[in-house]
Amino acid sequence: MDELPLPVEEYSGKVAEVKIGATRNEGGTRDFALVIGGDRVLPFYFFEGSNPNPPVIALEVYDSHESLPRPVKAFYSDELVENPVEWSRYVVEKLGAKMLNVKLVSVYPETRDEEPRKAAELVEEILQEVKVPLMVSGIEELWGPREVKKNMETLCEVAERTSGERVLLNPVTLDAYETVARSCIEHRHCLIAKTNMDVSQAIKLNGLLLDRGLTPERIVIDVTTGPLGYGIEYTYSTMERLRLRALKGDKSVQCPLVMFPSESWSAREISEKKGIDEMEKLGVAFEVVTAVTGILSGGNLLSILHPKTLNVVREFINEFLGQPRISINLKEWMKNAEW
Amino acid sequence: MVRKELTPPEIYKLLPKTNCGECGVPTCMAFAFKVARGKASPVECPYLSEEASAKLLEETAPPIAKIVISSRGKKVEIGGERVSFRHEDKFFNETALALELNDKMSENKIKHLLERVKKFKVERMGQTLRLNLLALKSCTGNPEIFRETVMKVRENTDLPLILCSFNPQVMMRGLEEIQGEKPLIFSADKRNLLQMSTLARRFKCPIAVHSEDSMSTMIQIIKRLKGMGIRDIVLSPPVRHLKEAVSNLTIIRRTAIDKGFNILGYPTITFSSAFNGIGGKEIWETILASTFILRYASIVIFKNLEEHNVLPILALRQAIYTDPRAPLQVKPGLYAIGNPGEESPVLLTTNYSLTYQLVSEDIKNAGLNCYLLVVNTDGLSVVCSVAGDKLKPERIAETIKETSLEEKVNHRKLVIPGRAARLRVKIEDETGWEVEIGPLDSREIKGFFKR
Repeated sequence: MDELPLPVEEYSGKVAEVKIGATRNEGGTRDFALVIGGDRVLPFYFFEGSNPNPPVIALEVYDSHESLPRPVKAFYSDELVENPVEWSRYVVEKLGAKMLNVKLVSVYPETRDEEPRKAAELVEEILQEVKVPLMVSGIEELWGPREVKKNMETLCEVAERTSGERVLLNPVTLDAYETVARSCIEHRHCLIAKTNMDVSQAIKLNGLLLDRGLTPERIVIDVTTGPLGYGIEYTYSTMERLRLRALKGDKSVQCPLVMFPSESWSAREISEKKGIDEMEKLGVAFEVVTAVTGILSGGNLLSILHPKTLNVVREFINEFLGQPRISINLKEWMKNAEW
Repeated sequence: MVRKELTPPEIYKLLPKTNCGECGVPTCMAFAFKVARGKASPVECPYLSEEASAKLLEETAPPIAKIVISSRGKKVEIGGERVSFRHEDKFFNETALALELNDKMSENKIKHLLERVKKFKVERMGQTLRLNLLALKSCTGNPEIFRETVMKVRENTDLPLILCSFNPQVMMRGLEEIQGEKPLIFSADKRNLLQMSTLARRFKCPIAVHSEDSMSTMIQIIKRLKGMGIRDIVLSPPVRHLKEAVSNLTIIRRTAIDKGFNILGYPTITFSSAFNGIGGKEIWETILASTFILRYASIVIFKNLEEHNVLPILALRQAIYTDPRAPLQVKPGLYAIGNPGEESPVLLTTNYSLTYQLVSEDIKNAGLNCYLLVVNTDGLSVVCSVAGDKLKPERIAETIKETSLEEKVNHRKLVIPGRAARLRVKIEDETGWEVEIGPLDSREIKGFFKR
């Protein structure tokens, strides 16, 4: 018998567990909370050990539907996407989503430039209608000071009005972190620390947030998702490097990682397709592959746009948890002429 | 990395130190650096003693052996890898994608598929992405039918082959038909080991080792093959389900590289079409292929040629095998798009290949005649270069000078990407040009100029 020297590493570090959503006992109104992170080994290194919490998927709903890709709109129907509260109820009750990412795209200064107050009211309404944990996204593309300021105002408004619900506020960046961090602590939420595909920037922002009194249990790291074909390799390697640092003991980055496969829908290959079916097939495939890449590089939370992607990615994760459904048999494959 | 590697000075000691330059680099020290980095093979030095050559080859060989699969016209290199994480260096030889064919297919079907394979190419970021290999399996188990199918395939394509059968008689007839080529034999297992290895030696072909259920059986087979002097080995570890596949592919890569366990230091072959038990087969083939690519597979066999299945796999492979320290770049400078004159607008972008490709396509689609000023950002996109301080106003000013742009146009108005808006004042100060903020997405260039 040949001894196989398993490539087991002894890691001294551990990723913090971040709990999203507060139940009634915890001062919120959620039916349950979700825990992400807690990783002790690299994803799916079963020969080395196992991680306590499988990746969680949040399904996206928008407060205004103009920018939704056509196949997503078609899946839900125009009527539904025009009513974000009903839409949220639908994805929880009918699609079994365990978490929502409510995207307040209406506040973008370039488009509707809606008041933060109005956007936050919608979040309150959704919290009353559905009882799953929420991520709430303000302005994710912060290319100028106007966007930075508006995002900060929006997230603070949401934090205040949803006090105690342990919402995951997205995104907080190096441009403006103090106010949101303070509001996050005061109202007992957690936040996403977003930097631009750069390990040292991620370390810096996390350090600043920790200095401001946020604990690692309240921070989720977003290195920015370059989707498949549009910089996914940067995201992949930045996530891998951060996770390795965390496991090797760097306390400043021991937080769970979030990834946004939904960004895949911006690929040109998809929008250039003529038929809506073709668009959907290619879009879902891009989103699924981006999600798989995110999970294998250490992603603990995934934000997904198309419900079909949600189903497939859920099945992918399940293949690693319980009894696998997929069997691979090369002897059978050899005989199988089916095409 | 646990494996001790020779340093450039250690390699230099074994070289002739004549600086003859015949290897293509001017000095022996420079050559030593290339060899140490795996960028050159010691045998490229024409004056190396046999003893030094053997020592260097042994000591500088990548921990995952490089294997060649070839036809008369084409060759595919797999393996040759040195790291487990791409940020530690880079991945060298990209996963070879193989389309699956079988000997129950009609001649027409084979012809039709090979025609599609030939036409199947995707242009992305200045690279042409294609399929690399054909995997031909014997479903009938009949040696004569297999030989005929190999012949038919060879009449219609020059792609290198993987011949698939566990039956040595079948394998032999296939190998005879394309004698002189180096197809991959798939596969030896514990039952056919002796006969299959004889074929590998006789036809001088690489051979795959398969074990259905046990890594230690696979290790024993590898040892037997090595004992027979066979070096060109490809591994097909137990992969009964996804969890086992991910585990074993990771174990192979990391034990070979990080634990220096050279018995497993070979490329791997995986099958994304060989699964059962779940609906939505098409998307699952894509998922399995992606998972295998991300977990170091050197070959992925698949059978679905639809765009929505293959394109994501090709894009993922391209991404993962890009050199992390050298993103795909275009040359900085001034590019004329359409037929620009001295009144034409000047647009600015970065030298990341994908950025350049998209922006220039969008300008063409907008039917615009203009100059595109491509600034060196070390191959970073607009968003990344702005965030990482790589889109430098000084560099923009230099590029304007170097390209004599001020002699080509009679105005001083520069349109910058919307995502670089925050650099406006600095660029104006540095260049003396008036800066106008363009759209956030280059797809809106057309509308922007209509206004």
